[in-house]
Amino acid sequence: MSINRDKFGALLFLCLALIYGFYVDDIPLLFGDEDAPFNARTLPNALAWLLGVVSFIQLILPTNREAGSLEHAFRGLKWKRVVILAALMVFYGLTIRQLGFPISTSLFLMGGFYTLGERRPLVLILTAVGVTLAFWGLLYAMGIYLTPGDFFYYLGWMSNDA
Amino acid sequence: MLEGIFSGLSTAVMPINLLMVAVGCFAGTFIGMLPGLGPITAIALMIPITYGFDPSTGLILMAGVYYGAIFGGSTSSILINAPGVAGTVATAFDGYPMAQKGQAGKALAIAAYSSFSGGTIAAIFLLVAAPALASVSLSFQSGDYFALMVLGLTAVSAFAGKGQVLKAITMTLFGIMLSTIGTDPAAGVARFTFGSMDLVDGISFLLLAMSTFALSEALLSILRPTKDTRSEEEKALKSLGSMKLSKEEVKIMIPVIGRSSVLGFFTGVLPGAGATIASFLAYGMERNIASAKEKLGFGKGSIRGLAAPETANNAACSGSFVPLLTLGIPGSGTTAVMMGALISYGVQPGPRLFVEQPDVFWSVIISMYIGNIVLLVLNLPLIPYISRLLALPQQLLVPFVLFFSLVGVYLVTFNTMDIHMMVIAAAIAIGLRLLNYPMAPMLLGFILGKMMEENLRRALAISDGSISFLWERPITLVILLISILFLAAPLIGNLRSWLANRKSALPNDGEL
Repeated sequence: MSINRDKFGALLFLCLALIYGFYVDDIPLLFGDEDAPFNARTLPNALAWLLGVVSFIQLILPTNREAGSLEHAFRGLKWKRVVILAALMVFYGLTIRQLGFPISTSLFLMGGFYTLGERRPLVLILTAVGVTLAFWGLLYAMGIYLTPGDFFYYLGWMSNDA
Repeated sequence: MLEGIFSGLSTAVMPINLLMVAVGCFAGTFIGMLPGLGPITAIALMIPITYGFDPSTGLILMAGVYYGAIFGGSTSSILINAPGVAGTVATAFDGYPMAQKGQAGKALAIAAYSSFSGGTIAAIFLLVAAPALASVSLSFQSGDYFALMVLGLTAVSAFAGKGQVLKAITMTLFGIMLSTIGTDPAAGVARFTFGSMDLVDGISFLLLAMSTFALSEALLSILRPTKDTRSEEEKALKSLGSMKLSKEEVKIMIPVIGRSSVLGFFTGVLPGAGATIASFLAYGMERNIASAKEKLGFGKGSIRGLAAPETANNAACSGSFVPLLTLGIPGSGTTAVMMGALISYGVQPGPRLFVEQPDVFWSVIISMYIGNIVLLVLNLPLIPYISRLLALPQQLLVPFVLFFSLVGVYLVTFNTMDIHMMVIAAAIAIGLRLLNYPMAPMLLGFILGKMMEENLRRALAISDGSISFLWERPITLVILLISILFLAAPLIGNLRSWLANRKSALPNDGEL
């Protein structure tokens, strides 16, 4: 049995409405706000109900055959390269402070080019480093200075005195 | 008003602003020609660049990108029958058959002249309509604004297309939900932050726009590889043929441009409608009023069939600025991105903009004329050169889009957590796109959510907790009734077709 794509989406949003609605009660209220016509919980409460009702309606309405099955929607997708690119983005976020903008950006771009099939070392390195340094220089000219990275400070190659 | 126009003109013709219009048109044309990337992505990618500029310059650049992206989309539609953006799908109906007949240059010229005329005529309408509406809207109260925002959100859902209405409503609600994350501005209490300091200020608009459009569109092009049309497009551009139009052809175009400009502009003004609907409406109108003989030419390279959607989509682009500039309510995903950018510059779009920052208001309107001239005078002859950029291989292009998206957000906050949040948001967006959920209503819901809550809270406070403000003022009531109509019409339509088909419906084996 395969689930219809639209129904699966509606089911996901119904779950979201329930979870969101569950956490509405965690919103703290100021003293006296409980009886106010509008407080911090009013809109979230309404939204949880509305989303719940809309997704429930979509669940019980007749199946839209044109939407196809969930399996069909996810068939033939090239996940591997996308997962690697996502990992590279996480790596970029983790290293931009430590390694600094020039190194982490160059590594990110080189990794991205390589993942997508670029194998010429000269293109890989020159494009990544060239674009990174040009962008770094442009930012510097615009008055935005990005430090070379904490790593260099730890090594003592750079000084914080400047 | 004249003073405002002169002030806008003097701002718009400043060298930096002229340069930005040109850069915007070029960048927009290039991005619009790329398969899979639309005007929202093009504008979102420009936002970080505009932070260093003053609001007028930033908005002028983005307006140029918007026009350029639509024009770039038309080029792909005409040359290779692959519309880069939804607003240029109707262009391909007659543009592509013309190109196949060896008249690609002529088709591009018709598209450019029609776009120019549509954009220019609509900008004149905007010049008249925007200040008038801004003056009227100064008398609007919180209740009216609340009703207008409801109208904007319901209209976006109503125009979502067959079978997509409930999904669009879902996404709008999801967007409003995302806007509730962070500190409640009135009570000052944290909502849905789960103790994380990174969520105290809420989710940044730029982060959401970049990850749900630029990042997810770029990643989807890898995940679901479509046919790479760039080499085909490049080849087609090398044999364009003549771009000259005969007197007879111009004569045919003039009345079409007049009609489609008016239709396009007013469709653009409607919240939720926009370039796509305007172009289809204009194409349909031209075909309906054409003589039986002319009708046969539609779909086979008709000049009327090409000029109508091209005029209307550009006129609608100008029209969509009316609710943004005068009411502070974006009518489409693209103008929602622009509004987000304006808010981040510290400019609040709405009726006060016309009074408090007339230079921003007028310079944007004046720059639309300049943008149209740039498109016609520079972009059209330079199209073969812009297309050379298409030769940039995809393995280099996609990492660049990812890099500019990530760094664009990082440079605003210098918070590495934002990069991680972008990856999560992009993953969710990809999942939702695969489930065929539209992204623009979410962005609109996110932008309007906070404002809607603020206005509702204020209206309730003024009316002492009573919801009577919804019907006490005729204008509020009328706007709300239109919203209900917008919402009910497609739902009733769906219900009727379901009831009609009920008997013939087959049992649904194995599907939930």
